[in-house]
Amino acid sequence: MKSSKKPLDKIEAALIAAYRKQEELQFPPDWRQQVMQDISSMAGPTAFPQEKKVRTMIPRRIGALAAVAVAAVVGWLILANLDRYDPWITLKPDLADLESHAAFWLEAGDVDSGLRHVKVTVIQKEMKIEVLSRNLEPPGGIWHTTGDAVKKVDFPLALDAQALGLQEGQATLVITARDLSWRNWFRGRSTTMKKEMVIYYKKSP
Amino acid sequence: MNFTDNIPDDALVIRNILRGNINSFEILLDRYQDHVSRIVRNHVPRDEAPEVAHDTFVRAYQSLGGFKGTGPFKHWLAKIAIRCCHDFWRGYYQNQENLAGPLPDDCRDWVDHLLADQSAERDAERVEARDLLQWALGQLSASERTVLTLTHLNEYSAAEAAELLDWSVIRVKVQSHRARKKLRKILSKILPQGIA
Repeated sequence: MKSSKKPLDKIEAALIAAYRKQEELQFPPDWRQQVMQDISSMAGPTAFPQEKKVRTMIPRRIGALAAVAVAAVVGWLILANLDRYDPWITLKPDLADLESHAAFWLEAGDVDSGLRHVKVTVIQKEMKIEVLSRNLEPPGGIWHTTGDAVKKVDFPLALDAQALGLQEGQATLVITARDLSWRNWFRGRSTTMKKEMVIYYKKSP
Repeated sequence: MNFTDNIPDDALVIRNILRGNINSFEILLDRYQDHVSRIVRNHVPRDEAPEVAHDTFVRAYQSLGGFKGTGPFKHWLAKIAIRCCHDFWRGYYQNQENLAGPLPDDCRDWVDHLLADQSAERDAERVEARDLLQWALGQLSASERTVLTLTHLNEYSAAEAAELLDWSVIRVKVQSHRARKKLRKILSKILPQGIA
Protein backbone atom coordinates (compact mmCIF):
# COMPACT_ATOMS: atom_id res chain seq x y z
CA MET A 1 0.00 0.00 0.00
CA LYS A 2 1.38 3.36 -0.93
CA SER A 3 1.44 6.09 1.72
CA SER A 4 -1.00 8.93 1.22
CA LYS A 5 1.23 11.32 3.16
CA LYS A 6 2.93 14.04 1.22
CA PRO A 7 6.68 13.42 0.89
CA LEU A 8 7.54 16.58 2.80
CA ASP A 9 5.24 15.64 5.69
CA LYS A 10 6.81 12.19 5.76
CA ILE A 11 10.33 13.58 5.94
CA GLU A 12 9.32 16.07 8.61
CA ALA A 13 7.65 13.36 10.72
CA ALA A 14 10.72 11.10 10.41
CA LEU A 15 13.05 13.94 11.40
CA ILE A 16 10.94 14.81 14.45
CA ALA A 17 10.87 11.13 15.45
CA ALA A 18 14.66 10.93 15.05
CA TYR A 19 15.08 14.08 17.11
CA ARG A 20 13.00 12.66 19.97
CA LYS A 21 14.91 9.39 20.08
CA GLN A 22 18.10 10.89 21.39
CA GLU A 23 20.11 8.97 23.95
CA GLU A 24 20.87 10.30 27.41
CA LEU A 25 23.77 12.72 27.59
CA GLN A 26 26.99 11.52 29.17
CA PHE A 27 28.82 14.18 31.12
CA PRO A 28 32.60 14.06 31.49
CA PRO A 29 33.61 12.60 34.88
CA ASP A 30 35.07 15.89 36.13
CA TRP A 31 32.17 18.00 34.91
CA ARG A 32 30.66 18.70 38.36
CA GLN A 33 34.09 19.43 39.81
CA GLN A 34 34.67 21.95 37.02
CA VAL A 35 31.39 23.73 37.75
CA MET A 36 32.17 23.92 41.45
CA GLN A 37 35.70 25.15 40.76
CA ASP A 38 34.41 27.87 38.45
CA ILE A 39 31.80 29.17 40.86
CA SER A 40 34.29 29.10 43.73
CA SER A 41 36.56 31.44 41.79
CA MET A 42 33.75 33.91 41.18
CA ALA A 43 32.37 36.80 43.14
CA GLY A 44 29.09 36.17 44.95
CA PRO A 45 25.76 35.78 43.17
CA THR A 46 24.11 38.87 41.73
CA ALA A 47 20.77 39.69 40.12
CA PHE A 48 19.20 37.70 37.32
CA PRO A 49 20.43 39.11 34.00
CA GLN A 50 17.45 40.55 32.24
CA GLU A 51 17.51 41.20 28.52
CA LYS A 52 17.84 44.89 27.85
CA LYS A 53 14.42 46.37 27.37
CA VAL A 54 13.85 49.67 25.64
CA ARG A 55 11.80 51.77 27.99
CA THR A 56 9.65 54.44 26.48
CA MET A 57 7.26 56.93 27.99
CA ILE A 58 4.48 55.70 25.72
CA PRO A 59 3.36 52.08 25.98
CA ARG A 60 4.12 50.19 22.76
CA ARG A 61 0.50 49.41 21.89
CA ILE A 62 -0.66 52.99 22.30
CA GLY A 63 2.30 54.13 20.19
CA ALA A 64 1.39 51.64 17.46
CA LEU A 65 -2.27 52.72 17.49
CA ALA A 66 -1.26 56.39 17.33
CA ALA A 67 1.08 55.66 14.42
CA VAL A 68 -1.73 53.88 12.55
CA ALA A 69 -4.13 56.77 13.23
CA VAL A 70 -1.58 59.35 12.04
CA ALA A 71 -0.83 57.26 8.93
CA ALA A 72 -4.58 57.01 8.19
CA VAL A 73 -5.09 60.78 8.56
CA VAL A 74 -2.04 61.59 6.43
CA GLY A 75 -3.12 59.02 3.83
CA TRP A 76 -6.62 60.47 3.71
CA LEU A 77 -5.29 64.02 3.39
CA ILE A 78 -2.94 63.03 0.60
CA LEU A 79 -5.56 61.04 -1.29
CA ALA A 80 -8.12 63.81 -0.86
CA ASN A 81 -5.80 66.55 -1.99
CA LEU A 82 -3.71 64.96 -4.73
CA ASP A 83 -6.14 65.52 -7.59
CA ARG A 84 -5.82 63.97 -11.01
CA TYR A 85 -6.78 66.75 -13.41
CA ASP A 86 -5.18 70.04 -14.40
CA PRO A 87 -7.31 73.18 -14.36
CA TRP A 88 -8.90 74.15 -17.68
CA ILE A 89 -9.05 77.53 -19.49
CA THR A 90 -11.10 78.77 -22.43
CA LEU A 91 -10.93 82.18 -24.07
CA LYS A 92 -13.58 83.45 -26.47
CA PRO A 93 -13.61 84.72 -29.16
CA ASP A 94 -10.57 83.13 -30.74
CA LEU A 95 -9.00 86.28 -32.21
CA ALA A 96 -5.64 86.34 -33.97
CA ASP A 97 -5.60 90.09 -34.51
CA LEU A 98 -6.10 92.48 -31.65
CA GLU A 99 -7.37 95.97 -32.18
CA SER A 100 -6.49 98.64 -29.67
CA HIS A 101 -9.63 97.64 -27.74
CA ALA A 102 -10.66 94.01 -27.47
CA ALA A 103 -13.14 92.21 -25.25
CA PHE A 104 -12.77 88.54 -24.39
CA TRP A 105 -14.71 86.17 -22.21
CA LEU A 106 -12.44 84.12 -20.00
CA GLU A 107 -13.53 80.86 -18.36
CA ALA A 108 -11.40 78.75 -16.05
CA GLY A 109 -12.12 75.90 -13.72
CA ASP A 110 -10.84 72.84 -11.88
CA VAL A 111 -12.93 69.74 -11.30
CA ASP A 112 -11.01 68.33 -8.32
CA SER A 113 -9.71 70.70 -5.69
CA GLY A 114 -10.95 73.98 -7.20
CA LEU A 115 -9.14 77.10 -8.39
CA ARG A 116 -6.49 78.93 -6.43
CA HIS A 117 -5.39 81.65 -8.81
CA VAL A 118 -5.93 82.99 -12.34
CA LYS A 119 -3.41 85.32 -13.93
CA VAL A 120 -3.35 87.05 -17.35
CA THR A 121 -0.20 88.67 -18.76
CA VAL A 122 0.78 90.07 -22.13
CA ILE A 123 4.34 89.64 -23.32
CA GLN A 124 5.74 91.78 -26.07
CA LYS A 125 9.44 91.66 -26.79
CA GLU A 126 11.14 92.24 -23.45
CA MET A 127 8.03 93.71 -21.87
CA LYS A 128 5.76 91.68 -19.59
CA ILE A 129 2.57 93.36 -18.45
CA GLU A 130 0.24 91.86 -15.89
CA VAL A 131 -3.32 92.42 -17.02
CA LEU A 132 -5.17 90.51 -14.34
CA SER A 133 -4.37 88.56 -11.22
CA ARG A 134 -7.26 87.07 -9.33
CA ASN A 135 -6.79 85.15 -6.12
CA LEU A 136 -9.55 82.58 -5.72
CA GLU A 137 -8.24 80.80 -2.65
CA PRO A 138 -10.99 80.21 -0.08
CA PRO A 139 -10.43 81.66 3.41
CA GLY A 140 -8.81 78.48 4.78
CA GLY A 141 -6.15 78.37 2.04
CA ILE A 142 -5.26 74.90 0.77
CA TRP A 143 -7.16 73.42 3.70
CA HIS A 144 -10.24 75.50 2.72
CA THR A 145 -11.65 74.80 6.13
CA THR A 146 -13.81 77.87 6.33
CA GLY A 147 -15.02 78.23 2.76
CA ASP A 148 -15.86 76.27 -0.36
CA ALA A 149 -13.37 76.02 -3.19
CA VAL A 150 -14.20 77.84 -6.43
CA LYS A 151 -14.69 75.20 -9.11
CA LYS A 152 -15.32 77.55 -12.02
CA VAL A 153 -15.03 81.24 -12.83
CA ASP A 154 -15.99 83.24 -15.92
CA PHE A 155 -15.54 86.92 -16.42
CA PRO A 156 -15.00 89.47 -19.19
CA LEU A 157 -11.42 90.32 -20.04
CA ALA A 158 -10.96 93.73 -21.62
CA LEU A 159 -7.64 94.52 -23.26
CA ASP A 160 -6.81 98.12 -24.08
CA ALA A 161 -3.51 97.76 -25.87
CA GLN A 162 -2.79 101.44 -25.94
CA ALA A 163 -3.55 101.92 -22.26
CA LEU A 164 -1.30 98.99 -21.42
CA GLY A 165 1.52 100.60 -23.37
CA LEU A 166 1.69 97.88 -26.01
CA GLN A 167 3.00 98.66 -29.43
CA GLU A 168 1.70 97.43 -32.74
CA GLY A 169 3.01 94.06 -33.78
CA GLN A 170 3.43 90.56 -32.35
CA ALA A 171 2.41 89.90 -28.71
CA THR A 172 1.61 86.86 -26.60
CA LEU A 173 -1.33 86.62 -24.25
CA VAL A 174 -0.51 84.22 -21.41
CA ILE A 175 -3.27 82.92 -19.13
CA THR A 176 -2.32 80.74 -16.17
CA ALA A 177 -4.72 78.94 -13.82
CA ARG A 178 -3.51 77.11 -10.71
CA ASP A 179 -5.55 74.77 -8.54
CA LEU A 180 -5.69 74.09 -4.78
CA SER A 181 -4.17 70.60 -4.87
CA TRP A 182 -1.02 69.53 -3.01
CA ARG A 183 0.77 68.68 -6.21
CA ASN A 184 4.12 70.30 -6.99
CA TRP A 185 5.00 70.62 -3.30
CA PHE A 186 1.72 72.28 -2.37
CA ARG A 187 1.90 74.80 -5.22
CA GLY A 188 -0.89 72.97 -7.04
CA ARG A 189 -1.40 71.85 -10.62
CA SER A 190 -1.35 74.61 -13.23
CA THR A 191 -2.46 75.11 -16.82
CA THR A 192 -1.06 77.81 -19.09
CA MET A 193 -2.70 78.96 -22.28
CA LYS A 194 -0.55 80.98 -24.67
CA LYS A 195 -2.15 82.91 -27.50
CA GLU A 196 -0.08 84.59 -30.20
CA MET A 197 -1.71 87.81 -31.44
CA VAL A 198 -0.93 90.75 -33.67
CA ILE A 199 -1.81 94.16 -32.24
CA TYR A 200 -2.74 96.93 -34.55
CA TYR A 201 -4.25 100.33 -33.95
CA LYS A 202 -7.12 101.56 -36.05
CA LYS A 203 -6.19 104.53 -38.15
CA SER A 204 -8.27 107.60 -37.35
CA PRO A 205 -10.63 108.46 -40.24
CA MET B 1 8.25 11.94 61.33
CA ASN B 2 8.08 13.10 57.79
CA PHE B 3 10.94 11.68 55.71
CA THR B 4 11.20 14.81 53.57
CA ASP B 5 11.96 16.93 56.63
CA ASN B 6 15.66 16.17 56.24
CA ILE B 7 15.78 17.31 52.61
CA PRO B 8 16.23 21.06 52.42
CA ASP B 9 13.97 22.71 49.89
CA ASP B 10 15.39 24.86 47.08
CA ALA B 11 14.65 28.11 48.89
CA LEU B 12 16.66 27.01 51.90
CA VAL B 13 19.57 25.84 49.76
CA ILE B 14 19.58 29.12 47.86
CA ARG B 15 19.51 31.08 51.11
CA ASN B 16 22.56 29.08 52.27
CA ILE B 17 24.44 29.81 49.04
CA LEU B 18 23.61 33.49 49.26
CA ARG B 19 24.97 33.52 52.80
CA GLY B 20 28.30 32.32 51.40
CA ASN B 21 27.99 28.55 51.69
CA ILE B 22 29.04 27.85 48.11
CA ASN B 23 29.19 24.08 48.68
CA SER B 24 25.39 24.05 48.97
CA PHE B 25 25.33 24.66 45.24
CA GLU B 26 26.23 20.98 44.83
CA ILE B 27 22.75 20.13 46.09
CA LEU B 28 21.26 22.11 43.22
CA LEU B 29 23.68 20.44 40.82
CA ASP B 30 22.52 17.03 42.06
CA ARG B 31 18.88 17.90 41.76
CA TYR B 32 18.87 19.62 38.41
CA GLN B 33 21.75 18.21 36.40
CA ASP B 34 19.43 15.81 34.56
CA HIS B 35 16.84 18.51 34.00
CA VAL B 36 19.37 20.89 32.48
CA SER B 37 20.99 18.05 30.58
CA ARG B 38 17.67 17.16 28.92
CA ILE B 39 17.11 20.77 27.87
CA VAL B 40 20.54 21.44 26.43
CA ARG B 41 20.73 18.01 24.79
CA ASN B 42 17.61 18.94 22.84
CA HIS B 43 18.95 22.29 21.73
CA VAL B 44 22.66 22.09 21.00
CA PRO B 45 24.97 19.46 19.43
CA ARG B 46 25.74 16.59 21.81
CA ASP B 47 29.44 17.35 22.01
CA GLU B 48 28.65 20.93 23.04
CA ALA B 49 25.93 20.05 25.55
CA PRO B 50 28.16 19.50 28.63
CA GLU B 51 29.79 22.90 28.04
CA VAL B 52 26.41 24.64 27.67
CA ALA B 53 25.09 22.85 30.79
CA HIS B 54 28.22 24.02 32.62
CA ASP B 55 27.53 27.63 31.49
CA THR B 56 23.92 27.27 32.61
CA PHE B 57 24.87 26.39 36.18
CA VAL B 58 27.59 29.03 36.33
CA ARG B 59 25.16 31.67 35.09
CA ALA B 60 22.50 30.43 37.51
CA TYR B 61 24.97 30.79 40.38
CA GLN B 62 25.92 34.30 39.30
CA SER B 63 22.26 35.32 39.05
CA LEU B 64 21.03 33.58 42.18
CA GLY B 65 20.55 36.89 43.99
CA GLY B 66 17.80 37.74 41.53
CA PHE B 67 15.78 34.55 42.12
CA LYS B 68 12.62 35.83 43.76
CA GLY B 69 11.14 32.46 44.62
CA THR B 70 7.76 33.37 43.12
CA GLY B 71 7.96 30.29 40.86
CA PRO B 72 9.78 26.97 41.07
CA PHE B 73 13.57 27.10 40.85
CA LYS B 74 13.36 24.42 38.17
CA HIS B 75 11.51 26.80 35.80
CA TRP B 76 13.91 29.61 36.55
CA LEU B 77 16.85 27.33 35.76
CA ALA B 78 15.17 26.13 32.55
CA LYS B 79 14.91 29.73 31.45
CA ILE B 80 18.63 30.20 31.95
CA ALA B 81 19.38 26.95 30.13
CA ILE B 82 17.32 28.03 27.12
CA ARG B 83 19.05 31.40 27.06
CA CYS B 84 22.45 29.69 27.21
CA CYS B 85 21.44 27.51 24.25
CA HIS B 86 20.22 30.57 22.36
CA ASP B 87 23.48 32.37 23.12
CA PHE B 88 25.38 29.32 21.95
CA TRP B 89 23.67 29.47 18.55
CA ARG B 90 24.10 33.22 18.32
CA GLY B 91 27.83 32.81 18.82
CA TYR B 92 27.89 29.85 16.47
CA TYR B 93 26.22 31.70 13.62
CA GLN B 94 28.48 34.69 14.05
CA ASN B 95 31.33 32.45 12.99
CA GLN B 96 31.03 32.36 9.20
CA GLU B 97 32.94 29.07 9.02
CA ASN B 98 30.10 27.34 10.81
CA LEU B 99 27.46 28.13 8.21
CA ALA B 100 25.70 25.10 6.71
CA GLY B 101 27.58 23.55 3.82
CA PRO B 102 26.17 21.26 1.15
CA LEU B 103 23.91 18.41 2.20
CA PRO B 104 25.92 15.20 2.80
CA ASP B 105 25.22 12.43 0.26
CA ASP B 106 24.24 10.04 3.06
CA CYS B 107 21.35 12.35 4.00
CA ARG B 108 20.19 12.53 0.41
CA ASP B 109 20.25 8.73 0.21
CA TRP B 110 18.27 8.58 3.43
CA VAL B 111 15.57 10.82 1.92
CA ASP B 112 15.38 8.62 -1.20
CA HIS B 113 15.16 5.52 0.96
CA LEU B 114 12.52 7.03 3.22
CA LEU B 115 10.32 8.06 0.33
CA ALA B 116 10.73 4.68 -1.33
CA ASP B 117 9.33 2.51 1.49
CA GLN B 118 7.23 2.62 4.63
CA SER B 119 9.83 2.02 7.33
CA ALA B 120 9.69 5.54 8.71
CA GLU B 121 9.93 4.36 12.31
CA ARG B 122 13.14 2.44 11.70
CA ASP B 123 14.55 5.19 9.50
CA ALA B 124 13.91 7.75 12.16
CA GLU B 125 16.58 6.15 14.29
CA ARG B 126 19.26 6.62 11.70
CA VAL B 127 22.09 9.06 12.18
CA GLU B 128 21.44 10.53 8.74
CA ALA B 129 18.03 11.76 9.90
CA ARG B 130 19.61 13.71 12.75
CA ASP B 131 22.33 15.02 10.44
CA LEU B 132 19.71 16.16 7.95
CA LEU B 133 17.72 17.90 10.68
CA GLN B 134 20.85 19.66 11.95
CA TRP B 135 21.76 20.66 8.40
CA ALA B 136 18.30 22.14 7.81
CA LEU B 137 18.19 23.85 11.22
CA GLY B 138 21.65 25.25 10.49
CA GLN B 139 20.12 27.41 7.80
CA LEU B 140 17.80 29.16 10.23
CA SER B 141 18.75 32.07 12.44
CA ALA B 142 19.58 31.49 16.11
CA SER B 143 16.17 32.80 17.22
CA GLU B 144 14.27 30.81 14.61
CA ARG B 145 16.18 27.69 15.56
CA THR B 146 15.55 28.13 19.28
CA VAL B 147 11.84 28.87 18.98
CA LEU B 148 11.26 26.07 16.46
CA THR B 149 13.11 23.59 18.65
CA LEU B 150 10.97 24.57 21.61
CA THR B 151 7.56 24.67 19.96
CA HIS B 152 7.79 22.19 17.14
CA LEU B 153 10.35 19.61 18.17
CA ASN B 154 9.82 19.70 21.94
CA GLU B 155 6.10 20.55 21.77
CA TYR B 156 6.15 23.40 24.24
CA SER B 157 3.06 25.59 24.05
CA ALA B 158 3.48 29.14 22.77
CA ALA B 159 2.89 30.44 26.31
CA GLU B 160 5.56 28.14 27.79
CA ALA B 161 8.07 29.05 25.07
CA ALA B 162 7.30 32.74 25.57
CA GLU B 163 7.96 32.37 29.29
CA LEU B 164 11.28 30.60 28.67
CA LEU B 165 12.48 33.04 26.05
CA ASP B 166 11.06 36.13 27.76
CA TRP B 167 9.20 36.95 24.54
CA SER B 168 5.55 37.79 23.94
CA VAL B 169 3.25 34.90 22.98
CA ILE B 170 2.50 36.63 19.67
CA ARG B 171 6.19 36.87 18.86
CA VAL B 172 6.65 33.18 19.61
CA LYS B 173 3.71 32.25 17.39
CA VAL B 174 4.84 34.42 14.50
CA GLN B 175 8.51 33.40 14.68
CA SER B 176 7.64 29.75 15.12
CA HIS B 177 5.29 29.79 12.12
CA ARG B 178 7.86 31.54 9.94
CA ALA B 179 10.66 29.25 11.06
CA ARG B 180 8.65 26.12 10.29
CA LYS B 181 7.70 27.46 6.88
CA LYS B 182 11.35 28.22 6.20
CA LEU B 183 12.41 24.75 7.36
CA ARG B 184 9.87 23.08 5.08
CA LYS B 185 11.09 25.20 2.18
CA ILE B 186 14.66 24.09 2.87
CA LEU B 187 13.57 20.46 3.06
CA SER B 188 11.50 20.74 -0.12
CA LYS B 189 14.67 21.62 -2.04
CA ILE B 190 16.21 18.25 -1.30
CA LEU B 191 13.24 16.24 -2.56
CA PRO B 192 14.14 14.08 -5.54
CA GLN B 193 13.19 15.52 -8.96
CA GLY B 194 9.54 14.99 -9.83
CA ILE B 195 8.33 14.73 -6.23
CA ALA B 196 6.59 17.78 -4.81
